[in-house]
Amino acid sequence: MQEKKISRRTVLAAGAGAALCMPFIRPAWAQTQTVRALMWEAYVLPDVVSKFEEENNVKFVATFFDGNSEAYNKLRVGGAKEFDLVQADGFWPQLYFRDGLIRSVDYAHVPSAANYLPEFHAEKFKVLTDPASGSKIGYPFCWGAYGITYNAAVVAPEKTGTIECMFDPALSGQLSTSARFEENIALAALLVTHRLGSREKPRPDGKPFNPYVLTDEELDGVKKLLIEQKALLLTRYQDNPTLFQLLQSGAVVAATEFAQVFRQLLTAKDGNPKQDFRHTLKMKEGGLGWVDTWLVTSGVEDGPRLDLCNKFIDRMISSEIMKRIGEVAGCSTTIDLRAISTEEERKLYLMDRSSEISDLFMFDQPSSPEKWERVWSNVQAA
Amino acid sequence: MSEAENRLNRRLFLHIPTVFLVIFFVLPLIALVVLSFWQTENYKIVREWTAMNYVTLATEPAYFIFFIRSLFMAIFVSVFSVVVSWPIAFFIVRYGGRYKLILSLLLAVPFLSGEVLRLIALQGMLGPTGLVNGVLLKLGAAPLRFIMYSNSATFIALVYLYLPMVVTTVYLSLLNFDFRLASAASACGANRFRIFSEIVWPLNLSGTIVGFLLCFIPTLSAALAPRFLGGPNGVLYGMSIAQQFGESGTWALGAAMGVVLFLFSMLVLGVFSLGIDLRRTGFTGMGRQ
Amino acid sequence: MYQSQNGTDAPYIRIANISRQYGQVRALHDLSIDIDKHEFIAILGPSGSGKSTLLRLIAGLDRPTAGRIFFDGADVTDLPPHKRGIGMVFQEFLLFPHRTVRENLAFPLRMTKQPPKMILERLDWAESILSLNGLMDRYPNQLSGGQQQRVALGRGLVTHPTLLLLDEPLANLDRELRNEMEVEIRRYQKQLGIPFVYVTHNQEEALSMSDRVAVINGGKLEALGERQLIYDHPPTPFVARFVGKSTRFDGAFDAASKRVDLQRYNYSFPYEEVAERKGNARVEVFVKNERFELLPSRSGGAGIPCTVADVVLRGPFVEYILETEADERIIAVQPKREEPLALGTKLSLSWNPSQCHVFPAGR
Repeated sequence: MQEKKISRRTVLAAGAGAALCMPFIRPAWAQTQTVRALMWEAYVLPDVVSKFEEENNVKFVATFFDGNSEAYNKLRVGGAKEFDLVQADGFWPQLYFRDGLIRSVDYAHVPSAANYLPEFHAEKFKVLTDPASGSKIGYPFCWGAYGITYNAAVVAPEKTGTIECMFDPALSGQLSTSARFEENIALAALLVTHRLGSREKPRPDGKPFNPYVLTDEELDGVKKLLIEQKALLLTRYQDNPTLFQLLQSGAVVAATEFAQVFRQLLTAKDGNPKQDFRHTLKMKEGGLGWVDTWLVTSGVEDGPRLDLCNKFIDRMISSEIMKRIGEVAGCSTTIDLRAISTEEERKLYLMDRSSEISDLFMFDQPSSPEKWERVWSNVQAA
Repeated sequence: MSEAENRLNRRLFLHIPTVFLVIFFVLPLIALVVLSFWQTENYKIVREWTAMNYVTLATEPAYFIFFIRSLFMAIFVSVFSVVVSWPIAFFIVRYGGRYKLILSLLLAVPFLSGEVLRLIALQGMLGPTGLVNGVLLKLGAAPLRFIMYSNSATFIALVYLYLPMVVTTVYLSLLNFDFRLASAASACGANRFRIFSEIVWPLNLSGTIVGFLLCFIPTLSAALAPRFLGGPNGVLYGMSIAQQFGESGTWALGAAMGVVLFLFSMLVLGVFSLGIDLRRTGFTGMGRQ
Repeated sequence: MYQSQNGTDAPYIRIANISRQYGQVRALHDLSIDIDKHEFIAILGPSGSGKSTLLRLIAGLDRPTAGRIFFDGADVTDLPPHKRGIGMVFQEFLLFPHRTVRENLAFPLRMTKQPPKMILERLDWAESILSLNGLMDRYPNQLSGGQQQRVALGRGLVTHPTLLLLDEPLANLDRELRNEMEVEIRRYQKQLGIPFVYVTHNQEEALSMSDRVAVINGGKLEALGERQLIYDHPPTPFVARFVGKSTRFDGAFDAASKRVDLQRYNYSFPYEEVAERKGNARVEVFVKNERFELLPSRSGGAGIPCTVADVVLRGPFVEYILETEADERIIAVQPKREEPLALGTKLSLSWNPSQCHVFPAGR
């Protein structure tokens, strides 16, 4: 992309790129006074948005995505100029920053940042610190894991202490996982590397073990494991409401998920008798964790636009909004809400267990999307 | 208006559809083909010409399996839809009377809601808590496993989605068919079965083929139905393409899969269009009363 | 009368008291016709008269609400068309567009399960009798109207059916071709010796081809008889008006003088009696256009004075468009003479009383 000379190839490429991206791009010239966010749909609170629009006399335009790679791709093809705010989780903000898609931020301009739980304080939460410059690159928002939600009446709690639970033939036809291939592979990789004992050996990237960086041998083991698992699954759920129904109805008794459905099941006011649903955050082989963030794109320069972005983030991570988002989306928050929460809520939203996030493997980018895709296709086709 | 202006206007009228076609069909297609000869690496496009994607498609059995699954699904769904459409369309045309118009409009009702909405509704119907299995469970019977997250569920959904298309096409064909040809055959000594097999069916074959293709082509590339209803073993070719472009970011491979699908669809269209000869259909085109 | 196979005296085709009702609409009412073998019968009527319904009933494409139909003594009323052994030719030909001429002709033979040898024989027969040489492998859309018509005829005839039904088969042909086909169709009928039932609204066609004519009006049989008889002695005013080209006059019958006086003209002619009415009566007088006598007005004899307004040459005939004093236009047809009458010639119009038809008015 360094090449500036206009050749036939670049014209072709530009044409191809433009044609491919047409459906995704919101033209930059359409609005001047807008705040454009690329975000998860679950976090939109319409009344909060309209209040923000009124107070600041701006228009808030949201574009939604499902997975990190999708957001990353949208941001890359559209250029950082197409969005002001973007959300990502796990290690993905680091990648965004390395690629120059997002800018560094200063917590001093966002008063609510003072209320973070200790684990997410600026100096403590290194995931959002650029190792080179030491500057912060984003604001933590919600956090969670990819643990096992299960019906304790059917599945013994001690069985869920291991990932093996999700591969147990005794639960055939009553298991479900998310449709996201990265987390399915990474979780299976925890089991495979645990069995192989390959975590302590030198890793391909020379760094400590990360379930998103796997050797071919490990990937092969993952593939076999996932093919075995496929026969045991009722389905891979596409969205939380589906999983909610499956668990509620008893069709599924154990599923890996982001603890959101677990909370919805316990707080649901649908009149159904409450069943004994429980959630295992971290299995003995380890668990996967995620911290959602708010990031500011590199298209936003110092001045009124940055101020607007800061204002929006400040509003979103303010205690009362965070509490509502936690309830609506069913996730734990990075802001300390213990002062305004009941004992039950403290337990439900794991407010006292936020320290465990440091023991979880953060969501990350697969070491090779191409290889992982191949594994996933082979699993699906088997 | 001067002659030159007139000619300009005429040319504009001709060119607008051409430009439209180029922008919305040819350019994206070219982009797809170009992309299919590049590579992706860690969500980045590597702009070096290579046929690797096609080699991958040819050598990795997974994609071939997706394709075969899709092909069989498309054949089953289309053939089933045609078989079901005929009696429905025939009934409306012959016995619809003054309700003909209303009945034919009813066929279009499902199109008023989006495909995703209809699929979610079906998911609710066919799922373990759905209408069908819910009632079975209430009656104390075992739920029908085969309609829960399986290829059968996808089949039902695709039939549900595209049957109206086929019925409408066959209906239009029969509506334009000169049924006095059937009387003529009857007067020639043909019984009901012969009238159908020798006259009505062949003369409506073109319309039926169009209906078949209108069902076959989208079914072949179906992505949403298998995603919502197919279950772990129900991944179809179109759904895999959607994954390449969405989650896994392997667009180049996805583009190659798209090109293969496009070429295959064109081949099917080509082969079937050999069977269409409008001059030899039942539209006699003579003064009709 | 024709002697049928089972030895009885029954006619070859018997249509007995059939009616057909569509909801409230009475398409046919209590209609009976007997048809002999070897007979060419024309069903003549204006559109909507029920003549096509009658044909469909005979073919079995429709069922009568009452009455029976017999073929050769056997009751076929409840038989479907393919079990009646009929041939049929339609107005729009209705050839099968996806089949060649050969396949179209072979279709009825295949449907009636004839042996292959017979099919070939019949195809050859149809090809030669209908002069379809060189057309056998064409598709209908590659044929001219007349060729399509001949194929349609052939398709009706190849099985050598019990009878052939023709539904206005010439309506879509141009005049010249129509005249040609009239002769041909009549020739086929004579050759094959099976009854042809020919439905038409065109009285010329009916008269030129048939042996007998059945005139249908309003779902009822108005007249049935030899074509000459129907033409020369129309039994009803409708037939008088519909068959042949006539001019109608209003008049009054004076029983004392036994004369008919025309209302608008100072013209009367002797007449013996008007059927069904005693004494004086208002009457309708029909005179066939070719039966007018034209005399120079100076000749003095009784007649309707008129002027030649236009002259239309029709081959061997001349049509004089005459204007009367009452501002009526009358058409008189005369054999062509050396020199037709000039425009504006004053004439006196009269007719032979035995050549006109008088009916009591208001029937």
